[in-house]
Amino acid sequence: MTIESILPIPDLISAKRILCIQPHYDDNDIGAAGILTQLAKKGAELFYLTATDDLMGVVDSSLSNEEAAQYLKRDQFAAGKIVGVIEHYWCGYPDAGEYEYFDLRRDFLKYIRFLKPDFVFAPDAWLTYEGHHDHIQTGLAAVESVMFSGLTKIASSDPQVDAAYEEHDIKGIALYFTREPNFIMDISSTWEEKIAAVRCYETQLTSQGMEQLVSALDMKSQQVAEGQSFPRGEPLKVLHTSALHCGI
Amino acid sequence: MTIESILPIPDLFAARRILCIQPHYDDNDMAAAGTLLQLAQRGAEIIYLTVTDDLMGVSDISLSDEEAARVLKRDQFAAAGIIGVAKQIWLGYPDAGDFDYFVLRRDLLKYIRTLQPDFVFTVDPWLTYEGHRDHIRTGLAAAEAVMFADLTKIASSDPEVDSAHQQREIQGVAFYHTREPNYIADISTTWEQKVAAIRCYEAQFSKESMEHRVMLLDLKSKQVAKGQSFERGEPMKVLHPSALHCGI
Repeated sequence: MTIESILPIPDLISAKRILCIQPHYDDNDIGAAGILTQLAKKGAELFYLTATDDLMGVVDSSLSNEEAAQYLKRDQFAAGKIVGVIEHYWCGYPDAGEYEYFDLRRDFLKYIRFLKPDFVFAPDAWLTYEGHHDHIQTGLAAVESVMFSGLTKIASSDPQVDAAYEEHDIKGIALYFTREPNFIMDISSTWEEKIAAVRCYETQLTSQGMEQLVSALDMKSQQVAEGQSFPRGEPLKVLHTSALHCGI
Repeated sequence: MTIESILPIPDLFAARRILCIQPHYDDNDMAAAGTLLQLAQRGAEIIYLTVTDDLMGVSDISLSDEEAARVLKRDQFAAAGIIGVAKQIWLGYPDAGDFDYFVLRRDLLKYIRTLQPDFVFTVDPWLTYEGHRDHIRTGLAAAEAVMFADLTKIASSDPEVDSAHQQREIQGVAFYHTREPNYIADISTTWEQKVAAIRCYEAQFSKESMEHRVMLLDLKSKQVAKGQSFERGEPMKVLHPSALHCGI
């Protein structure tokens, strides 16, 4: 028995300005490109914020960190074009590394107060058997930043942003990479674009690794759509921002 | 709704070299001795790695830390003689204490790269209502060390180990002390030996608390075997290393 939130699931489809916070360059697209492409087509503005520098998984070890970063961004811009991302921001924390949770949270607060999204995407920090520390930290810090965006006594990393901030309403948060979805989005119409976007991330995957990823996404998208009226889905936990506290 | 991994459950019984990473001296045996003994009998090499010094729970408070450490090891070797543990490693972090997650992860990376196990056992850090921080930290650091074993850009605590490392596939991770098993091992044939191994841990239990502990294990082993074709079991979450990321 699991007790769900009493609050209604916010209407993702009406989101107009979406901040997608991801640990690594490709997580938003691997987790949610099918949905995000549809939202962009409906006129939503998409902003991507990447927490880490993603340098650990770069396949070509002969590249300098600067060159690697350039290639990662090239891949990300190419994928962003397919999905319809209008702007990218990067925090540059060390991939799989030692950084402070509270520094990360301050940076996320800054971008939320600055960009004023009405919906935030992030990985589900409560995904059981997620081993990657970056995912857990990013997911938790994104959730706290959403909860605390209106409380400017909780400082962001930019005092000017805090001083200029006027409270705005975040309608909901959509957590991707989840085992406990309350919403499965039909992505049949954007599956091809999702895969085209994922295939842009050449710097981090060997051609064999890419084929494995695509085949895993293929199977997963069908698994999550079982019992639905469509063949492929992306699972999300979509929550009201007041549902992020005390099990309400 | 819970979405399980699409990846097949790795075959535990094909394991040849198993590294069992435990927070305290007796966790591997409490949770998995019945399974590990069967694997040892089939010829697998079993290696135990203990993260903390376990000094907090020693019942005889007149013992110095050195004496306590000696009796803990005496107990552990006696239990290992029953199970068939080939080798013991200790990291010596302070029991229930203040140690750094990343330092621990570096040590675990070092031993995984040195010992090259094909299977890793550890505690399930996603066990809901697990209150002991040593368990959560150990399980999470073990999971990341498995995921990052071949990414030597992510440094271990020994640069020589990193430069000598040759990639080797880890078939799977078995998380014990779990509430979400995908595999219940039949331990009916090794139950007596498991209890004999547990009874070796005299330094940490009074006579009365040992009887209590054996009774709980007795009840639990039958509870988890309900609906199975055998009388006693040990529950495990056995996962492919790629299932430890993004909910694949």
